Amino acid sequence: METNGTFEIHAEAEEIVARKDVSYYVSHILFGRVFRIVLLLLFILAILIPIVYIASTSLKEPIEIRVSGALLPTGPITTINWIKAFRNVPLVRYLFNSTVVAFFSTILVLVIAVPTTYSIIRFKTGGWFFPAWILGTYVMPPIVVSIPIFAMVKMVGLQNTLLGLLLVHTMANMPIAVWLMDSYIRAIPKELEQAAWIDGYSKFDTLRRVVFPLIRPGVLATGVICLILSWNEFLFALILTYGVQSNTFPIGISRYVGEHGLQFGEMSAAALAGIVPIYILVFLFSRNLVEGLTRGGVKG
Amino acid sequence: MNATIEKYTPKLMVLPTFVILLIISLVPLIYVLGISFTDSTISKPFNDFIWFENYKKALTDEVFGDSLVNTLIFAFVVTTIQTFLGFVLAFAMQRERKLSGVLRTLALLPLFTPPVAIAMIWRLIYDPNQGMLNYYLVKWGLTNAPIAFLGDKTLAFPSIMLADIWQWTPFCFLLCLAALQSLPRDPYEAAMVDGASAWYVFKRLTLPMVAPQVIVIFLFRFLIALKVFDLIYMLTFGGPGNTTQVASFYIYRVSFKQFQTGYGGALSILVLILISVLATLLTKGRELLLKRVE
Amino acid sequence: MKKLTLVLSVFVVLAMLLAACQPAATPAPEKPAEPTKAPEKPAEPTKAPEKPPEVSAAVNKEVCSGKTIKFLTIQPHNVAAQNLQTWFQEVSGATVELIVVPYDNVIEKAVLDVTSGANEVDVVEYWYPGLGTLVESNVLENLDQWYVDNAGWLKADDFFPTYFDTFTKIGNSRYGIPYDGDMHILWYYKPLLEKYNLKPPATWDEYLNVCKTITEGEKGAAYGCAIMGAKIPLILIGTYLNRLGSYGGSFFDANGKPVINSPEAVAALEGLVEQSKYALPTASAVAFDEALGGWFTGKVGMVEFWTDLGSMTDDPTASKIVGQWGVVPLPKGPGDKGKVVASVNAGFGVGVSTGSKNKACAFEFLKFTADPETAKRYNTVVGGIDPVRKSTLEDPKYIEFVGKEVADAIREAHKNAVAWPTSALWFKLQEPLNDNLSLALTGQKTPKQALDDTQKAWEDLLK
Repeated sequence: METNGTFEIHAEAEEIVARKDVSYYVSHILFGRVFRIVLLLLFILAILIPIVYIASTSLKEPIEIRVSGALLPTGPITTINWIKAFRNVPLVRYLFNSTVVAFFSTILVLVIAVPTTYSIIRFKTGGWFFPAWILGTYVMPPIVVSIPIFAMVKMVGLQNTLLGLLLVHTMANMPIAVWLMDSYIRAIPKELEQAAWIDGYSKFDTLRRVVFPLIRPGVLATGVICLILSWNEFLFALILTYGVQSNTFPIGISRYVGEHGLQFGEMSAAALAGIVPIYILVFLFSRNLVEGLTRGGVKG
Repeated sequence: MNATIEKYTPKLMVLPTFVILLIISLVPLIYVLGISFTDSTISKPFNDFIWFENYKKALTDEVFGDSLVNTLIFAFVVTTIQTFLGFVLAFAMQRERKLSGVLRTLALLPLFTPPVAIAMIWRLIYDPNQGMLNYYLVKWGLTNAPIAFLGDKTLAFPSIMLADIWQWTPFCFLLCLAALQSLPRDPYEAAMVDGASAWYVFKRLTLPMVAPQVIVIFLFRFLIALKVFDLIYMLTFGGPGNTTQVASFYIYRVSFKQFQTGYGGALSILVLILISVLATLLTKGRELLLKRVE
Repeated sequence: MKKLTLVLSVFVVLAMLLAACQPAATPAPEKPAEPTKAPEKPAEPTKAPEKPPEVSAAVNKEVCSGKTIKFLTIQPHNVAAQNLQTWFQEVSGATVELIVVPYDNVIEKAVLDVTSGANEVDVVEYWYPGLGTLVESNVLENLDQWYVDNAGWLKADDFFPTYFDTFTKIGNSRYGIPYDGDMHILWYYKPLLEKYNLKPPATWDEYLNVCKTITEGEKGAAYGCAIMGAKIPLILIGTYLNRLGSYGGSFFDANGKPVINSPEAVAALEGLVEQSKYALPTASAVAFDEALGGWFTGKVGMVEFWTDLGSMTDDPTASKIVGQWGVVPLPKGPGDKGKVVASVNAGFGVGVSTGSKNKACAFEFLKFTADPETAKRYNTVVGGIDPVRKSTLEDPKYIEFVGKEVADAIREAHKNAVAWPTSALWFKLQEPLNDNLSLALTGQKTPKQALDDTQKAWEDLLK
């Protein structure tokens, strides 16, 4: 393939010289193979450098972090930051809390969002207004509704519990889940369902037995996205949780910011401890995630 | 009986979502609207009904004005750069099948890094004395003294934008890639037969066909960018001066730092009105644009 | 789909494992709360006002054993709070849970906890300028009777007068006890000053000269001074107050009217802006961490900082300048009005939340924290807690811990302390000041303009 590529470039160059077509020349410089590869490699570097940097910082000696911002450790490598991070902050407990909240809120979101989206698309329930309302809710800055939501959660006595937070996450992620599921359900030919109705299936059974198997990839992608959104959520977790028993991971690590005599090494280790599980999910489901995100985003 | 259930099934299916929307948007909005007409503090909700005093105050509040302008600048600049970069990269990527799998997976990473961790990473990168950016700037002789990116009145906002661009460009890239890959093949084959130049093909074929979808990507991202909060909260607290003050953060400050929940409610309502107007204008604008293209 | 099932099961197993690792689930100790309510009553101090004051601070085990109390504390004091937690659990049989929040969130967390009715918190550590806000929102228990009842061992006159009223008193009542005294003094790095043959400054003019000389001489390798000017009230207003006080200015006059644009106040801000030009770049982004980063690596000649910096600096795992520092009081302001001050930037008290569900035990915790003997213990570990009692400062173990030089500096500083306002309005007032100081520091407003605007904003808010 490599030799082929070189050959291609040569051939293209000869052609350009032969035709002396300036606009053709310009476009080839712009989108020529070498240029393309360089551009993409730069993109990969740009994505990776900050991540590599935080990983390397978590392995540097605390004193080295104070004097050198080099990308990779120049001195000896140490695990002291990791040990300290796990000792000074109940990271294990935060990770547990985040897992519970993310997992159950995602299940709830899916159970509610799939029938809703189906009903909106197939039966036009709620007309134009309902979908618009859902999207509008997604665009609204969460800070605007934080105080009343806090009051309501408190009213039902769920403040400072994982249950309270996971219910709020369920509600907060509902609009985006409907928005993501939309294109999957739209893509299913109506004829299939009509055939099912003729066979005597109820509307609900049609959804369960005919539609659901077809939209599984979409449900999966939506599920993983909601899982990650909940894992990363900051503002509601900040307001609704107090102590160790309900603080999620983002709140836990935000504690490191502003510490008297802040330790960047410990911060990096703590941050990575919460990022790694997410990255594993991303690698496992990258295909579904790309599919889910792009279908939701580019539809007219 | 069964027939009744069957008839109402569609309504029953949306019922839970309807209830959820009531709880997370309608009820809170009524609450916020109510409180915005009062002189409430956090310990005295619905204190003293004062009609439009809070709104009058908001209209003369310079910091609020600045924060709105900053929010719009932020959303516009980052969205433009992200969409442009995302498109160029996606276009370059189209013909590199080998890299595509790797790059798509990598592109998901910034998107799914917790914003708190992103802020932490960039805070470390920008640190004048221990950070990577200054380390290399000084080492390579590009600057004599380290630069405090987050403390400089002209650099602070662009620095925050850069962190946001790092996080969201991959998102725009993935969407643009999907848009490009969904284009029909036939017109290209026809153009090739005619021997049209690559630039001509791009200008006359690719761009017009992909434009509507790119505009959607821009709009979607723009509306999300208006919500920016975490990065400001973790990186600059709106400073230095008010150079990075944005609407969400200002509302947070008024409500939770100064405890003026009534005034915070009024600001919230104004911001919501602004966002709704923008969203409507942008969608209408897009429809007009599409008509003209056709 | 198989993959999903796999991942989900991994998640569930992981969750169970994590749960197993953390047996510290709370519900168990909460159960006996109701049956054991009876012994609470006799312990209540208000029941027997004629009873003689308690002579011992010994913790009453009966009201605490089996109970759980929650202590709201700030991140920088996490280690100190963990010590208190361990010690108190040993003597009381109670379980103490820590709710740790960033230092600039503690007041909002406490207010929200009580006004919302969440009532999770039993004991509150508060930043003292927020005291008025807390009392206005009815977050803290009135301690007047408690002070009477416990006068025997409490020895209130042992508290530094500088802290006692400021940290605990609103109107005629007390709502807390002093916990962490926090004054700024001037720290300097000897090798850098000696290199240029400079003496530690006694006036702000000398300070500017020292800072300028070193910064210009080092050409970026080091800086004469670090100035904390990040836009966080505790930091930026603290830095400004170090100058405002010594220039002879103040926030309010004797009648409580704002005088923040007085000639002294403007001169103090002009001084700050001028000094910041030579400080560790860039003053407007320097908070604790940035200043400490420069200080620990010997890149900074002088820094205004709290009195616990010495013990932190002498930790060789964090610092490269062990034993090479000195301390002096903050510089004196110019002219007739100029004086030496020590500003009480930061500083924390501890009180009992009105929403506490375990008040009897919360009061025992308060007692334990206020006990002079406990204070001697937590002041001699690295944890960011500085003495609030004269007896702690004179304790040989403490002097050995911080070094004689620092102890002397603290003693000296108490003669000239200036404190922040603690009125309920202060949290509204500090934001415009914070904004305008930051604007002046970045050159977007002149110092005069910035303070005129603050004065106007304050007059509007106080109307």
